[in-house]
Amino acid sequence: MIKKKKKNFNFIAGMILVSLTLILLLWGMIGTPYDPDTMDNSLKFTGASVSHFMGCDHFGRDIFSRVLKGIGNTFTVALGTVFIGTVAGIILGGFCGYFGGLLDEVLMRLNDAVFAFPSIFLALVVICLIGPGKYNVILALGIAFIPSFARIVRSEFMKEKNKEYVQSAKVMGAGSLRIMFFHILPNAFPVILSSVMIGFNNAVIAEAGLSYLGIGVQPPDASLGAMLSDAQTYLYSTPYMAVFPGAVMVMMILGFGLLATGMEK
Amino acid sequence: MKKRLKTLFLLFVLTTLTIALSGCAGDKEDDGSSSITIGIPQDLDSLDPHKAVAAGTKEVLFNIFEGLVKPDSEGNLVPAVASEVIPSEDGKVYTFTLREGVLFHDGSVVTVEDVKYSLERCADTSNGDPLVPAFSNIENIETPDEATIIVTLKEPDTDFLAYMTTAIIPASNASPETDPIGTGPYKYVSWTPQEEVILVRNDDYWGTPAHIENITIKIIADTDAIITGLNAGSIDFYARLSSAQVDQLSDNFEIYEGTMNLVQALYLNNDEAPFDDVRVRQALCYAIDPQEIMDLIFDGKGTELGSSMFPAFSKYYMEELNHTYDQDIDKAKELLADAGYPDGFSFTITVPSNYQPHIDTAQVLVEQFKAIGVDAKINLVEWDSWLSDVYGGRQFQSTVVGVDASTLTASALLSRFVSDASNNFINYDNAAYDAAYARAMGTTDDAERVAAYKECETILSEDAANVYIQDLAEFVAINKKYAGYEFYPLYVQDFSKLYIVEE
Amino acid sequence: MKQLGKRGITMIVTLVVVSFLVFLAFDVIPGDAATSKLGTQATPERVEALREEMGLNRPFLVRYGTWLAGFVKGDMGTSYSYSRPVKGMVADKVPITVTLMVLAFILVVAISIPLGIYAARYQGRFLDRLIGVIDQIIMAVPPFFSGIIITVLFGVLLKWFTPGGFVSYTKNWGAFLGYMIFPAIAIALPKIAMAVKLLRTSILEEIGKDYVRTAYSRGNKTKQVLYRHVLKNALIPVITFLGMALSDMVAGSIIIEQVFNIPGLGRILLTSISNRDYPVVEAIIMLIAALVIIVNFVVDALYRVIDPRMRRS
Repeated sequence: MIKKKKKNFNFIAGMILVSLTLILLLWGMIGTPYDPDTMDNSLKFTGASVSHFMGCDHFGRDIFSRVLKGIGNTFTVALGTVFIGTVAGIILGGFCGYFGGLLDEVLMRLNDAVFAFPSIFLALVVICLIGPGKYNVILALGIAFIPSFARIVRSEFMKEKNKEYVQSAKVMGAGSLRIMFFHILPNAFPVILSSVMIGFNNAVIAEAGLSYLGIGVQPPDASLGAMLSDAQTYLYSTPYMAVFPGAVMVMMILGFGLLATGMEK
Repeated sequence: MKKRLKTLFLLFVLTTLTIALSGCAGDKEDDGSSSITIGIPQDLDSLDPHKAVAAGTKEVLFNIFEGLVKPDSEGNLVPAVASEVIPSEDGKVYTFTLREGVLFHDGSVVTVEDVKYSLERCADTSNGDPLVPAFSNIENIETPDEATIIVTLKEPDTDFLAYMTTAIIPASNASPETDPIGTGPYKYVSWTPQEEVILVRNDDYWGTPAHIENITIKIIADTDAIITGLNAGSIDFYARLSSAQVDQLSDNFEIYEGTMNLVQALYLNNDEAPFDDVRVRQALCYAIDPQEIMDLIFDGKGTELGSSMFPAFSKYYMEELNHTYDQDIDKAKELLADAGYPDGFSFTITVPSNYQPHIDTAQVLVEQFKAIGVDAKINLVEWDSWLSDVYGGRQFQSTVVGVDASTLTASALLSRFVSDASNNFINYDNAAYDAAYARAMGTTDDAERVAAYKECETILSEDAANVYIQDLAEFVAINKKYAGYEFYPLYVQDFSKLYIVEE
Repeated sequence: MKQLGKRGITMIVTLVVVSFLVFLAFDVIPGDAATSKLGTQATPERVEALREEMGLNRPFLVRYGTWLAGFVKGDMGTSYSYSRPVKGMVADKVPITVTLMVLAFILVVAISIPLGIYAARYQGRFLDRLIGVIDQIIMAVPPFFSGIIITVLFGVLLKWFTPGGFVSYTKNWGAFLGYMIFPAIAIALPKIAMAVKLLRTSILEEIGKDYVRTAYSRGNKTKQVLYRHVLKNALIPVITFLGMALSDMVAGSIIIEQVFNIPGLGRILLTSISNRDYPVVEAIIMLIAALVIIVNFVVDALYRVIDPRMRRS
């Protein structure tokens, strides 16, 4: 009984935080209180005030406006990464798990090979190849995320393919593709959804890591990770520059994490 | 006659300097095991002084190696391994007298053979260009007796002495790459890649010996780790900080302010549309305000520049060029409309990602260009991609970097804009400029050369070859336990002048 | 035994594929060791001469073949940027990164298992909830930032260690370990959080199963059941996770080494990528890839030991 209640608590708390994040995201899409890129020397490093309630950064830009814009970019990058990872992961893992055999062996070894690279290194090389920028970061991280998704999907498909409903679908003459995507996939969906949310959080953190290494979104564009990375230079004199993007990032990840926990079963 | 006077002056500077220094040394006595830990931002690229190319390496090797002459903190060339230099009237023959009793770090005496070997090693053309490009001008090197070296040039070059800072190394050293032996105030002990370089004082130094005995140079790649390291006391000394970093330091540090002696600009690919149109380039110049850039990023520190020359070369620097383009948005828009871009255009600024001040500058530029309807995008690239694509391949529209002189010659700043120069990465092509530069090179008359250089600078400015910004301010932080830092007009750090302050 | 042989072959194949991909990547990205080494002093002639000297102007497959042949014989080549044998350079750095990994791994195991058990035993109570919330927050902080917070907190404010004061293991093992503890914490933190959460869920799931109920009905005490039966089964997903975490931590160390200024494998990997020094990059990637594969293998083997059912499939 207690267990059930706890899960609801996770789910509700997660929903609230995610909704809050989505509200900020929408706000940023509709319009920000100030232009997030406009610089003003007289506002440089000014703390929280009525007009700039999160204060201004090292260029005198409004931090709140940049946080709003940053959420948008972080969200785009994380969503795009997870999208690439999931779609490619489902196709790769699905075929390997369902058919098995030589195809499975070859693809999974290749998968292992990519998995054996440190993901940051992989992203680094991909960015060297195609250049930096928001969309290239998505591609780089997306590729780095494929192997883990492929593994999860594969094991789910292996588990499900021997179940009765698959057998009966086969008897009824359903084709392999139909079975894979109309019968097995919906059944594997809860597991995949939960790993999508965890993957989303990992993508947010990975983007921050790339920003720290200077290959994330391109300035003056903002992302939460890039803002955090910028802020660390001024950590001793103006710590609040790190507090707000950091807090929003924690809120976002916490929200999706709780939601994933709440939906588990 | 003028040259002779110059040499005499150099000798005078040297003597006064020595006196001043020995006075210093008398005040401060070092205890047996004095030491200091110095931070540097990037690893060395080679221990071989002739093969090292990175400025960050050269500034460390400056303490281990010396040439026949070496620069002092005033920007003069003073005799080092040589005790006297006599240039000929026509600037073609340079006669050096070897200083008596200069010892290499391995204890052997420096001979004229070592000098000849070192210079010839750098002039060798069997691997394509010589290691020191200016040495292709050397006709021959003679050593008529045990103490005289005569270098004869093919063409007169009054700047040639600046290249005689080339390190003198022993001819007997088979592996200069792993076992560096020089004549400088510090000896090499060890180098652990990505970790540290250790130096120890050379007690047999011919000149004023260094004060501090042991030097540990730590390689710290992360700019924020530098600040933490300084504040926590694991590093005592770090040069080339930005004003933002200085603000993060505790009050245990003495901060020196100087300039980096480089020309920071938005370098434009003059071959690439729309920058092949002078009106577009001028419009960009009118659009920006260097002072605002300095205010936003450097707390107002830095020196505005209007052409490819910085104030350290006071003889050639023209302050008036800073006002060729004072910010004028209307004029900029007018020029753009004339050039066929009434609604502006968009372009890419490629910036190497390893130096934050350039990235920040580019961000401000993007904002300033918005006012004239020009939409600029920043493209951060790794330093090595920058080297091969932008600098080597010239595949770029514009880039924000700082260009330095690397030797004590003003010509190093101007020679790259000659249309057929191999390092003319902006593809600048202007016949009037080429003629003016050739005139400067061809003359041995100082006044004529100054005039020709100034003409070059004026052409660059009026033709808006690049959008000139500033000579960056640089800050040096040194723990208050130490003192004695001196700025050089070159990219070097002189560790031998540092000493420990008595409590 | 046959299984082991098969594993060995797949490992070699995987390593060859990885090494080829790295080589290919370095062939395609802009710049090479010669342009990198010459920097702004590069002229076409000098770059060409240096390429000739370094052997970079040979065809791609020839270079790869030469490298692979050398590698098989145990010769990792010479670093382009450091002109030193790669083997010695990498060997010097291995103890640093391995120490970091081992310390972090010990922290993860030593902290997460007791905490996970505690949270599961006292589920729903205040402390369990607190652990849950702290867990989630820790997971939400990017590692580079927790590294910076640890530096400021323990280094600058509490002065428990000197940030940037890395001491090499060749000089003083004690001081070396004392410094490495803090970056190890930074690497371990998010993994601890995940492991606690996983173990707690996994124990609770096991407790709900029939065999546990049976054990209770036989009159066993809670503690005995927990340790003898539940834990053994509940640890299986945790072991999988720890295996993956170990490979993850290797990647994470690239960033943490940067934050704490540790001259380990990650640092030299980053520098060598930007110097286009592919012999060094290859050696390090091979090492990491081999480690990841071996860890996966060990995890699989442990599986079989803990859960006999797995042996059949």
